[in-house]
Amino acid sequence: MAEREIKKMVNPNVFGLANDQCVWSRAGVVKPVKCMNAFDCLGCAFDQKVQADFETREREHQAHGTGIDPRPVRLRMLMNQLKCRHMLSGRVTYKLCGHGYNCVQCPYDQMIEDTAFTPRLSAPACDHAAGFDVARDYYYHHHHAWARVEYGGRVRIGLDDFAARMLGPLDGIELPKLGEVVAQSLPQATLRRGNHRAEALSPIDGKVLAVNPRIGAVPEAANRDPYGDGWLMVIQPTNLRKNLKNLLYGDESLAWMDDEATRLTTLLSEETGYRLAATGGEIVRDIFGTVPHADWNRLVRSFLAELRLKRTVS
Amino acid sequence: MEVNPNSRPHLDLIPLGNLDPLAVSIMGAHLQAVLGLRTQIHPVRSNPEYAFMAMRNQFDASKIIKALATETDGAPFKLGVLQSDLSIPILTYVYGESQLGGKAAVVSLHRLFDIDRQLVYQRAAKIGVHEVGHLLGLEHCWQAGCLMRFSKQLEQLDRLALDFCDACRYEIVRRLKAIS
Repeated sequence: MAEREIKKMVNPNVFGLANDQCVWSRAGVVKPVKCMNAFDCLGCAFDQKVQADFETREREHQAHGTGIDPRPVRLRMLMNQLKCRHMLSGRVTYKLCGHGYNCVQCPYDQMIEDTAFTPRLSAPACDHAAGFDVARDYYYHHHHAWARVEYGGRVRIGLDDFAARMLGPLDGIELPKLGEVVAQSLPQATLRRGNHRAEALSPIDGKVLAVNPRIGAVPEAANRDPYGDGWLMVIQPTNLRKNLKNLLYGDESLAWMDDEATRLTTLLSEETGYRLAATGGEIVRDIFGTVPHADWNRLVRSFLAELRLKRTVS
Repeated sequence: MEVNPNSRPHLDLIPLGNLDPLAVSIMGAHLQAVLGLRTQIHPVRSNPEYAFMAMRNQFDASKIIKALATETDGAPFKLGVLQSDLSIPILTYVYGESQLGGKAAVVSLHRLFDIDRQLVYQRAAKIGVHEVGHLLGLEHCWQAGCLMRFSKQLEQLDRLALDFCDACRYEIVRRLKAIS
């Protein structure tokens, strides 16, 4: 019973980063602890706490004038090693600090943060559930949007393979403007195919920092490569850990996708009075275009969300 | 999972069109031996032309299931087997399809072909038992090696043993007790 009351802390799983230890742990300044803010150190409460502790020690040192360096021994060792925080996190192989750990003023830090927007060249590894691809280390919203927590705490989002195949090649995707605020489970993009419309919901709360510059000209990329080139936007999350609790990850996302495939099969098949489960085969790339009697509105209502006014705040 | 031969059959195995009778017999034997379902093999019926999709040159698995499910006589479960290729609207082909916790299922031997007949019979037995697992209400399983795992391709099907994981086996026994 006591175990039930303990709320399990959910730390974000950062895509493509094997190391999950806090940089202060890696430096040996604090006990081993997992990163809780996707290596967004400048916005991390724990980082601020550690920094504040150093400042307190510094003030005490100045007040009492003991002549002993107030910094922890391990921090002094770290300062001697000069390992950059991006080296400690595993993002880069080798880089020494040249700015006294003042990351806010560091041009190298700025460069690394900027390149976080660049998509990874290699395609993500995918598992398969009932013929649909499920990218590994991605989080999934139950209305078929994915969220990929990236280094630095930003989150890339897009449509999953299920939505991409169900809607087929799109003619247009309307995305919010930079700086707009999006909220979890509220519309973030309008998808267009001919006269048909659908809305994609945002998997997390946050502010739009970047949109896919190529998706406007090549909207079918969302269908062809939903987990790679077909990404929609990058968000600066505001409630990341809370939002992630509402998303599916790992095995549960595979089981959920399998369930969704069963639901779709049943919906598109003639009424048999039962859910249907199929074995084997490849999912067609354009379900709406291939199935003659497929009803767009019914598909959208059942698996995405009803079309409604966007609720974004500038 | 012992079977009393004098009891009423649980499952009707119905060949639809021309196909290897030995494959059907092997499938029936496995349903009885692995699942413990009393299985009766029916005489061969004609190809289900009502379910043929000329555009895809395949048979619509859902239509065959619907037709089998309307049959009120015989065993409570019906499993159709045919040689021709099957598909459903969202999949380019299927090895089989089943009503989850329902009455009817269908499997195709079309894509199970190999020059090694032993392999074909093993595949047929696996697909048959897998689909009947769905009839008993089991969904796809994520345990490696469990027969209820979804197989996208034959390589994946061949890697599976003709056996269930502990959780699926427990569910099968529980549901068989319920229908006995």
